[in-house]
Amino acid sequence: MTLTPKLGPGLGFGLGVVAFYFLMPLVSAFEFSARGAGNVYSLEAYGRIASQYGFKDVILLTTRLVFVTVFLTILIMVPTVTWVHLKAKKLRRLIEFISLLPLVIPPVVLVLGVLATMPNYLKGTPMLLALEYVMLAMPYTFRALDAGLGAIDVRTLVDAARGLGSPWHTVFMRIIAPNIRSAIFGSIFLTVALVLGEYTMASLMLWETFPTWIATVGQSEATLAVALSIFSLAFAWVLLLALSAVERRQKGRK
Amino acid sequence: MTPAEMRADVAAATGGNSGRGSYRRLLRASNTYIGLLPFFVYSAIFLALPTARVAFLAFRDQDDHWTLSNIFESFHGVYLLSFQRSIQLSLVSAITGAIFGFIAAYAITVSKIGFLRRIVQTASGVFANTGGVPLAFMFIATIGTYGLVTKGLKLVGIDLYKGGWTLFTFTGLILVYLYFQIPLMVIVILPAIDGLRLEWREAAATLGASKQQFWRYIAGPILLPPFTGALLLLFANSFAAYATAAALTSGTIPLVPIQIGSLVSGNVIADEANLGYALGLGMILIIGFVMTGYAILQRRTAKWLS
Amino acid sequence: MSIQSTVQRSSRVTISNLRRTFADVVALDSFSLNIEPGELITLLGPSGCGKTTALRMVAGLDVPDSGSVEINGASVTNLPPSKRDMGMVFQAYSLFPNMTARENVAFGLRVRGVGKAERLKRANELLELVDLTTQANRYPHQMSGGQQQRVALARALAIEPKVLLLDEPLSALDAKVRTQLRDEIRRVQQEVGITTIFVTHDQEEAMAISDRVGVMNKGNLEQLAAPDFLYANPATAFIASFVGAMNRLPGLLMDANTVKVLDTTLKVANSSHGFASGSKIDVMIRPEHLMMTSGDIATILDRSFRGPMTRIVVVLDDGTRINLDVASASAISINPGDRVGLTITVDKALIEAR
Ligand SMILES: Nc1ncnc2c1ncn2[C@@H]1O[C@H](COP(=O)(O)OP(=O)(O)OP(=O)(O)O)[C@@H](O)[C@H]1O
Ligand SMILES: [Mg+2]
Repeated sequence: MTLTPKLGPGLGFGLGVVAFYFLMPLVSAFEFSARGAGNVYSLEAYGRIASQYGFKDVILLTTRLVFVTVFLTILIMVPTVTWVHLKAKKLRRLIEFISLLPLVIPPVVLVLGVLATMPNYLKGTPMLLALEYVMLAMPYTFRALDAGLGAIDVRTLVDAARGLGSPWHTVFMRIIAPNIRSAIFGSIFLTVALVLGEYTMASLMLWETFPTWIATVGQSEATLAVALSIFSLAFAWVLLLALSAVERRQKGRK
Repeated sequence: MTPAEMRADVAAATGGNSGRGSYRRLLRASNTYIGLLPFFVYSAIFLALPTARVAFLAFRDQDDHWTLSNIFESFHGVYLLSFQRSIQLSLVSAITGAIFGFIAAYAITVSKIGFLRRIVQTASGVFANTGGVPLAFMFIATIGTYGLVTKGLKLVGIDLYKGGWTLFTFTGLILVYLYFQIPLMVIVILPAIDGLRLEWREAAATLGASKQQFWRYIAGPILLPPFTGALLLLFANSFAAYATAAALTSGTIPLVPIQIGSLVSGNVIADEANLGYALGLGMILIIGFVMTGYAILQRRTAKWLS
Repeated sequence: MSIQSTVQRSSRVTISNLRRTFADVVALDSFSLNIEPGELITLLGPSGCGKTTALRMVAGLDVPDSGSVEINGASVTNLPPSKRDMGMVFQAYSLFPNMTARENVAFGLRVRGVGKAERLKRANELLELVDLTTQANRYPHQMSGGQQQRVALARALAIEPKVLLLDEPLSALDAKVRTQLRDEIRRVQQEVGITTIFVTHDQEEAMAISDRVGVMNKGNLEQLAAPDFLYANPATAFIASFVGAMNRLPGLLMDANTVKVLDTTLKVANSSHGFASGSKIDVMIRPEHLMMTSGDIATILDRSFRGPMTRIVVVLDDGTRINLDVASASAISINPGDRVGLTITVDKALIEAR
């Protein structure tokens, strides 16, 4: 008779139900995507992805969005978070608070405001999406970089280097960048996953990105749409798993 | 941390700001702000401005005069119904997700099986971020008319679709939402469950408490704030979700985000043009309110379970 | 005082042949212990010797493979912890975080169905006993470690337990608070007159507060005795070196009962040692039983100031290191490298294999 709680039949059953609920759609989606003509299974749907109408444009646009978003995110967030840690520790909470606001303002509302404020030449380019995606990613990129910089004593390292007469850009490249490399990778993964999955703004601004394209395809070709969904989920999952792996390695090093 | 895990971690940000005096001092030292200028300007242009515009336009009419009629309209007819439906959907999916998520998290904690825990934790981080169009299609492949589970159930004599039910209804949507709600619950509640110390059980037992009394007087009250907090987070999560519902129901269920979406897409009756802004403002207020509650409860939890 | 009058149930505890194994680890081998009513017994021993396990068996938090626990002659071996009326104080963090100090103390009475007014009154009395009336409305996270442990003590006493069990209640505290609180525990224990088992691996703590100290080794009780007796008459070399400091000096066994060490002849304290006459053995001598004299058998190696006494380390010519304590006032003239003589000031010592 010890008091340590145990996994009894009740809890075990509950866990089983949850596991079933999560595994079934994975299995089903794969089964569905592999249904070929005349009741035989085939992976033919996956082969058709690349030749589907619009595929090339969609991939091109999505890739451009990914690159621009990642570039802008790094350009803005890395200096900002570094600055916060070096010069404005007191403002950390404020910056964090601002960067978390996109969690309170849902994309579907933000897009309303964006369409009502942005000048026409911006509304005419899909890159406006990238500009907003930087905002949508901010809660996550801030967290990732903040955690990365919080783990090292940037102040001391930088003061030491400056004391030895290193110029600023050397200090940044030699001291800050290597120390937050995995945090930067982390935020890149997050940003990529976000851009590849973002549907709300893209569809309401009427641009055909990967997620909105899946929806379009789904209206006529369910099998293909399911195959595409699996493809896109798998891609996002790989990114997220890579993120966990990077973090584990970072933790292991400390 | 995956995005969902970070979302669960907002409490830290809202912790008390210490020292107003030092703020003023920093204000004078404009030096401090220079490096943050790009960040402030960027957030102002791409977040603050659009949001302020939404709030502003919510109170303007077609002819650019002040009015309350948008706000008034948003509490009537189909829009009131949308708010009700959205809240119902979020409540039910939050409560159901919280219950199953709690069971799963508690089960893996007490099982003491290390790899099971690691798998569930990693999977939760991944699944909690699964949403949008792909999730919708995944469920169509599962319990849509031609889904694998639908076909399987038919074989054993259960016809899901006999009574007129479809995946594209309220309950169908809940079933789909649970796919990201349950994992989010696992992520949020796991630290709280881990925080329950064996010493408390043992102390309670030696003091004469039964297992029921332990749950009633100790574990229950300790887990209530994190549980409620998690409920709020799950609520906000589902309340703001647009893509899955849009892809799955194509507007058949009136939900606030869907209404806003169709107003944006131009399905507008002339005098309702600015109504979308009022709905948007309503959403922001509700989510802001809920998330504030979440942050407060998280901080309370941190004090008890550190 | 009311506390005393309400606890009239000082109990006799009889622990017989407890055995407990975890997989292939024998945590308790055959553990027996009799405790007189109102006595404070300390279980002392190195880490992993089974102290916690023994205490948890008494509390009912763990069940023995065999053996029994009796309170006042009645077996409680098969009772769950909630039915045993044991007051337990854990190492740390055992206060319920959702309750104030007062609510924590009143908890045991609450689950016993005692009315609110009465249990709060009683909780206040106990908080007064542990000198915490000002902290009554604080939550655990608002209190220091020492305060938390005092609340835990009050909480354990509130149910008027038959036995008070403390498992290293001071080990998470810093040195100063630790001495303060251990004296307080002793005071409260005597005031209430409750039978108590106190677990520690700090021998000084054990000596300071116990009626009797039980030294454990590898799942067994090796010796149970009053602190001064234990110190002066350790039954085994293990106890001798665990309780207080001990030197091992090379000696020669003359016959079964006499040993020669540093040209001095001593009586052998452990009679059934089993060594043959003429064996080369180690003789156990405490630092305070050695005196420095003028002579030429050892070299001063080091000295360290410890307040009134100074610890001197000398080395014999065969390399044996010996610690001894001298009054600091007379230690000033001692310098490393000096040659000295040594005199033994006891006439009896334990011997052990070299
Ligand atoms: N639940 C358990 N599972 C496996 N082994 C255990 C368990 N509890 C105790 N042991 C083992 O039993 C032995 C005795 O443990 P116990 O906790 O009683 O030691 P202790 O004297 O209290 O030590 P310490 O001073 O470190 O607290 C140890 O070897 C320990 O590893
Ligand atoms: Mg122990």
